[in-house]
Amino acid sequence: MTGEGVQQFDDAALGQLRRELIKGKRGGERQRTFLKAVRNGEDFLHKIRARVSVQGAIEPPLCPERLTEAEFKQPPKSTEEAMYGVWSHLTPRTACRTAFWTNLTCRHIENGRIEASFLAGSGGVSASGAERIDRALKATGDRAAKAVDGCVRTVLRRLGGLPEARGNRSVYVDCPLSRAWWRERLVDEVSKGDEEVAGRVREVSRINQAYWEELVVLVVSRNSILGSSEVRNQFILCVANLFEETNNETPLRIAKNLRAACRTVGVIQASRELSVLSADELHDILYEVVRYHHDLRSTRGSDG
Amino acid sequence: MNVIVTSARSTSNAVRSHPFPVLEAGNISFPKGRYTLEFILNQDRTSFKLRHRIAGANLISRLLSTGKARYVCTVSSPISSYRRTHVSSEALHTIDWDLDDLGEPPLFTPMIVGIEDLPDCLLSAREDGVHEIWDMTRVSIPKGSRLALGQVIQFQSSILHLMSLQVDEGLSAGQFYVDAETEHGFQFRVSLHPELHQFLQIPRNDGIRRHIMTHIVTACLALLQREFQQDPENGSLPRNLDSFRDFLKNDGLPDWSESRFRPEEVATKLYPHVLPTEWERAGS
Repeated sequence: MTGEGVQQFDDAALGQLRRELIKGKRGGERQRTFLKAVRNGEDFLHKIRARVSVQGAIEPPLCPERLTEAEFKQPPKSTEEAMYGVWSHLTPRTACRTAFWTNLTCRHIENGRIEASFLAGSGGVSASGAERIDRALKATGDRAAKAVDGCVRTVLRRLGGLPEARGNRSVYVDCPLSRAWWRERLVDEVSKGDEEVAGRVREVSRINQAYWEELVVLVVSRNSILGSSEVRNQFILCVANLFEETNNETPLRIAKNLRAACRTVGVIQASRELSVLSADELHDILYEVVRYHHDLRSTRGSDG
Repeated sequence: MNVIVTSARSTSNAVRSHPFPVLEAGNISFPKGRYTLEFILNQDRTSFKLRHRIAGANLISRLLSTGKARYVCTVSSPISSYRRTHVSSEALHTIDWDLDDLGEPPLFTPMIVGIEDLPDCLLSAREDGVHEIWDMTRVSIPKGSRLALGQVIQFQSSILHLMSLQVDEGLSAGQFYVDAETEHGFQFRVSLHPELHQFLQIPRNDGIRRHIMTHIVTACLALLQREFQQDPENGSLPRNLDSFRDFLKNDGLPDWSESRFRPEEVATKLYPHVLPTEWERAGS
């Protein structure tokens, strides 16, 4: 399943639609009409398909089972593994496109695997997507515009990513389907087929959303500094090993501390191309960084 | 062939402090240092040959000739989290990639990298070509150190792979013209005023660069219509030009031999002008 033939939305038309929705009047008629369509489900698909054409002939497979709203928002480990199994032949070229995931999410709605209103659900255990839309549409006064705008942005993020507001990392972190793919791909890359290592890396990638976002920044936004697969994989492996050695009692489980450790690697990489080092040499340097931050950081604090 | 020269005297906003001398734009560690890179694009669009040349930086030249440094080029596509390092002991080496790994035209960062730990290196301005501030200084150069760093380069897309951007100092500021080269495959030779040439070498995603490239592409397509409307007498186009024709057909676009071919229409389909949104206009 390579890049060219797989079905995806026309990128330019989809981007235009997203920009119209988020850069128009906050809480205005355009946003309200859009949310009503999402609430209805079928209207939403008509609205999207009327504006954005589909390119490519190969239909990627769907999740085998219908997902509950909770499963869609925060898929359990087993569900993410099953999703990756279904889409394991996708290439990074395809999987980095919001146009691909947006089309795939729409096809899941079309085929009853998820409901459109799930897209509006915020993280955690708060109200369902449908309830959130209803509240936003009924809100009055100053809060109304903010609530409607927030809801529209959530829908667009869940749908396939919102790069206009969240940059290139959006497709990795905001859409549950693409997030599952990228998370499992990282597990695959770092573990190289070793099931025990895969389990440890999976733990690292699933601590919480803030932690996952830090890991994604490592591979996307700072790709030029420390993105080479050798450095990235060895760094994540060192973090995973530290978790095991400390029985998960390490301040490196907090996203801001992980960020600090990444910065230290970035400082080393400013003068050195670490990817030319052997695996053992790389491990020694990166483990020293990880261990240093483990010793240095207080265990107090949380990701909030 | 595209040539890019990085010298200490070039200006840069990214000058950093390193614990050892580095040849990079804006860094005076090697005052007479020049790092020249020649890119020879292959027709397959998934590889090119890269030649590194170091001059005026004896320390780096010596480390290369004694096998203590290597010629390196990283290929990256941050959008798809791809980054691979190509290392060679030869100054001329092939850089390749798999399109399925990339989410955008790849970025290339050429460099010279030390591959041995040099814990106690006594520098000499006369012998090593370093600035006097480094003279008789002992430095440690750890394995992996970037000794020379070229500009980050991005070849943008298919028709741009057919282009060779050249400096023409006889042109006025902002001026360019396009010729065809058919001796080895096919290439558009785009001659540009030096500043315009420099501006287009550095990847950025701003509107001005995009509009200039759309203009250049229009000129290239007009040249094809003007000079290649009839197939050559031997019946075969250069292979890369033939591939470009297939590329247009696959996108549902006419090729230059058809009467409905309008260079500006095809160019703006491939590289549409992007207008500011209502929101951006309101903010300006």
